[in-house]
Amino acid sequence: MSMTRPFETFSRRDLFRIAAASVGGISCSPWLPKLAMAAGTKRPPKACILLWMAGGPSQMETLDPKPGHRNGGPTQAISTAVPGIELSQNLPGLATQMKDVALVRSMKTREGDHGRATQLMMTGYRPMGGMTDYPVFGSLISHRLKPAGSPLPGFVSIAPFRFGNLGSGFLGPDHSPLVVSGASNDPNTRANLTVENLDVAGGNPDALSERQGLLEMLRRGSPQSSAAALKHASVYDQAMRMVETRGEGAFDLDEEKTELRDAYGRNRFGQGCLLARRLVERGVPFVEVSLDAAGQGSWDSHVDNFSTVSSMCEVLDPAWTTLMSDLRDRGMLESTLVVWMGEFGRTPRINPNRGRDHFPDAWSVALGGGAIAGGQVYGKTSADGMEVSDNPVSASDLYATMLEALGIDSSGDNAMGNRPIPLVDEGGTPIRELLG
Amino acid sequence: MNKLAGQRHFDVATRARRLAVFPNESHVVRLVVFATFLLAVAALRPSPASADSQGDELSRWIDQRGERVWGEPPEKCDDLTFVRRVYLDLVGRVPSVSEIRDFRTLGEDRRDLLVNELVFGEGPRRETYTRLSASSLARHWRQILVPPGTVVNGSVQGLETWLADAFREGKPYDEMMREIAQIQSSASAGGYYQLVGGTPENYAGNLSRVMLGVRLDCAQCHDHPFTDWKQHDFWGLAAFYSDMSPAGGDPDGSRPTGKSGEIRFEGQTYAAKFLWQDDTIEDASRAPRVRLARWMTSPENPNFAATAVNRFWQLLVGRGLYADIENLDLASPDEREFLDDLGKRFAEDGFHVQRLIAAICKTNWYAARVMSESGSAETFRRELKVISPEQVFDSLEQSLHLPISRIDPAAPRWTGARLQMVNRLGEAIGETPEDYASGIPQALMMMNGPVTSDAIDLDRSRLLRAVVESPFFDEDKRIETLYLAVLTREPSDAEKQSLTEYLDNKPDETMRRKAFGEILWALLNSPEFVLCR
Repeated sequence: MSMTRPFETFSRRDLFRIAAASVGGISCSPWLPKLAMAAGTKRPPKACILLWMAGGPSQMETLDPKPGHRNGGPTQAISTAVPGIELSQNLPGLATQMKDVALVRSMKTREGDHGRATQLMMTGYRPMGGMTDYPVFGSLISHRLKPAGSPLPGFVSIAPFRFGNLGSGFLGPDHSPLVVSGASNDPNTRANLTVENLDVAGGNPDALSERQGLLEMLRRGSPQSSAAALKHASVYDQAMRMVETRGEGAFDLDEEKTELRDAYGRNRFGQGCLLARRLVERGVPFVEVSLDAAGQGSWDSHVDNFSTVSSMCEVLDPAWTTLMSDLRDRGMLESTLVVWMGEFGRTPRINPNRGRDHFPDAWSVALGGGAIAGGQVYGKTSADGMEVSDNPVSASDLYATMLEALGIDSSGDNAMGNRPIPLVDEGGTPIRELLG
Repeated sequence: MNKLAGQRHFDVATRARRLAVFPNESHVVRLVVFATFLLAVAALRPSPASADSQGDELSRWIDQRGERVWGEPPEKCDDLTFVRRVYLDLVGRVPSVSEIRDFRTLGEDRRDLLVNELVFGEGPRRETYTRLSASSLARHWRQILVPPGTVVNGSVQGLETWLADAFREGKPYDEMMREIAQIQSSASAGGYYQLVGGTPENYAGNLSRVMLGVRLDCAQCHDHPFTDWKQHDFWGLAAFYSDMSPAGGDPDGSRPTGKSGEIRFEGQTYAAKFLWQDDTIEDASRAPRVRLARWMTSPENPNFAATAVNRFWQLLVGRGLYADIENLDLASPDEREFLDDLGKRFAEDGFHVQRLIAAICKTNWYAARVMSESGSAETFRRELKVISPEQVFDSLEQSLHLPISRIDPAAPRWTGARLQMVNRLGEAIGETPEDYASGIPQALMMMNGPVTSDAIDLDRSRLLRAVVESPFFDEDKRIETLYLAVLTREPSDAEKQSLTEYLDNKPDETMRRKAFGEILWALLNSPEFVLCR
């Protein structure tokens, strides 16, 4: 399977359009942080931002460089804020954040197909003929951490691109992702980074309260005790509040300073990371931002791996770096787990097209913020990168660790009907060394 | 015989009346003469061989049997509710205003007559109803075969077409399922094997779930913790497919042994074996799938017919006769009795799908009023039923008079608008028809999406224009027509009063006209539109 999608980034015209729309659009009352962060009385609630690298990024050109070895190719290593830890030259920004980031260089999974591997890394469970509909990580976290009564959903997915039709599974629609753009093929709506259909039909926001009243009247006509009718009403009330508050103003990115927006990067992924921070600030416990292709690059680097990964990192590095520092500046880093991963790594051997192919045997992910003890490397690969030489980590180990980092007991269960389903697949053990 | 003749007379009269678009008196007289003539001709023909050609006898049996289990027959829903139900259940969309009008003229037996029209295609709209009901059934069964959330290998369209052809031809249910069980290649039976992953174990898991109402998938890796299923049960079933070309995607999956009817998994070899039997089949290499298919659908198999009727009952009534449809092995003998007996009758009747559907739709139980209140598990329950994504679109198309011609560039059916809506709604589908599973994205689409925007815009909405600009309608009539078109009912007195007040509060005529768009918005977004009462 190969990944192709038309290349998209913002054009100048798009940017202009977004700016114009925001200025002329419906303005909400200025949002006041609900979290008592400013008062310093309460710690902000736990949340997770997943930077999902669809396609499978090369570990050698990112977190586990092998300069000097034939398999390492031309990629050089650079030193970081933590003495002794090196990153690839493609991530100079992240190098400055190293104190708050832990690298896991010993991922060992067994799925080398995009679809199957995505399912494994997104749900923590190996695909089993699709018989049990496992929820993705975001839905698990939404289920555990979504604050009651929030008008925003517990799981927002920004510009998703992934293989397979994965969602909240048996946890149900309350925890399915609210998708921000990405679903439409129109590059403009994608670039807008807003929720589809948030604008009041007919264009008149005043109509909303009339409609609510009419709906109330009609609701009285259907059986009040019916579970389906109650559910319908609750979903509609939430959707109405989303429309009314324009998503609590989370999508009004133009409220941010120009310099900050520039620092994140004026592209979909960069602005998506900024939006993720704004959503977490407003109580959304899980936000996923996807990066699969940028410029001439794609993580699925079967051909010309080195140039393609370096062009991906030009988008990735500033966004990730700024996200870390922005979260820190706002006192949110300790409560927000930032995960960087794709579905697998790439073959250490360089293929005849100067590319690297799918490789689940030994690859890397990164965890930062939250309860993660940063500034360390966990696990190791052999000098040629072909195998894990130290502390292998499975998908379920990683899941157990991420859950614990969010304060959730990883040995717990979900229930599907009467059947208990472990949060983490058999054998998953949290990595204590990573948890501060 | 009398009843039959009367019914025929009626059909002819109905047909005749419908032929007349603008009937005047002379037309009517001519048509009555014509109808009488047809009746005379019909009376000369022998009556059909089958005693229960339209499921009437089975329907009476279900009614009586139901009373033994649940007690007194339930209170019936009103006519309009019934019409909405059968149109949604059988042809996949709400009835049009003129279909409602036609129904009302059908006389005493109108409910049964309508069921016959929609199920057996009796009457002038034969072709339309036959086509719609086959594709509606096909969609439903496609979803049973490939449940939402399945990672599919390819497009489900081929499977759906295969199913629609089978239903349209009136292929008996057991024959359809035999074809699925005894596939020759991964492309047989609409490509189902390929679609669900192309491995013996995936297929075995799906077949036992679909046809037998049992989930064996846990037994794939270990003996089932809550039921009696063992690994040899699961792999014994998978072994029937060991000679299909392997997909090879899963490094930990099954391995063929080179012998048909035998499969290897984690170093163990399993021979083909029917469920509920301890011994493996003799000489497994001799046409194993043909034997499996025969066993699957034979009376020796305790679950086949029961699971089938349970699925049809759930489709139509909203809740299975045994509600946990895919865990039938957890049902007690008491809980299964009705189901097993109905299954037996279905089998004796030759697994005739249309007759079973008609029989269920003609029962008092199908026609029961929605009554969520009743508590205990033993009593009969009729809840609101969530309509499917395709039913939502097709109902909108019907209610809003959307253009449907393939050559009309504005017809949402062909511009991709239908696909978009169905996909979005399809992202959140409940496990049973009683589960409302839509979330915020789905609600936002119904509230503010393009179809709704067009529908409430006086310049673009065909329904609104027809209603608001018609010189023959007063305001009450306008409201009534919107209700009938969208919700298949009349507004209640309280609703009429509220809406009149709402309109009276509008400062001028333009705003008043616009307000009908708001009313329509509310009807389209009301729980009643997506929850079939």
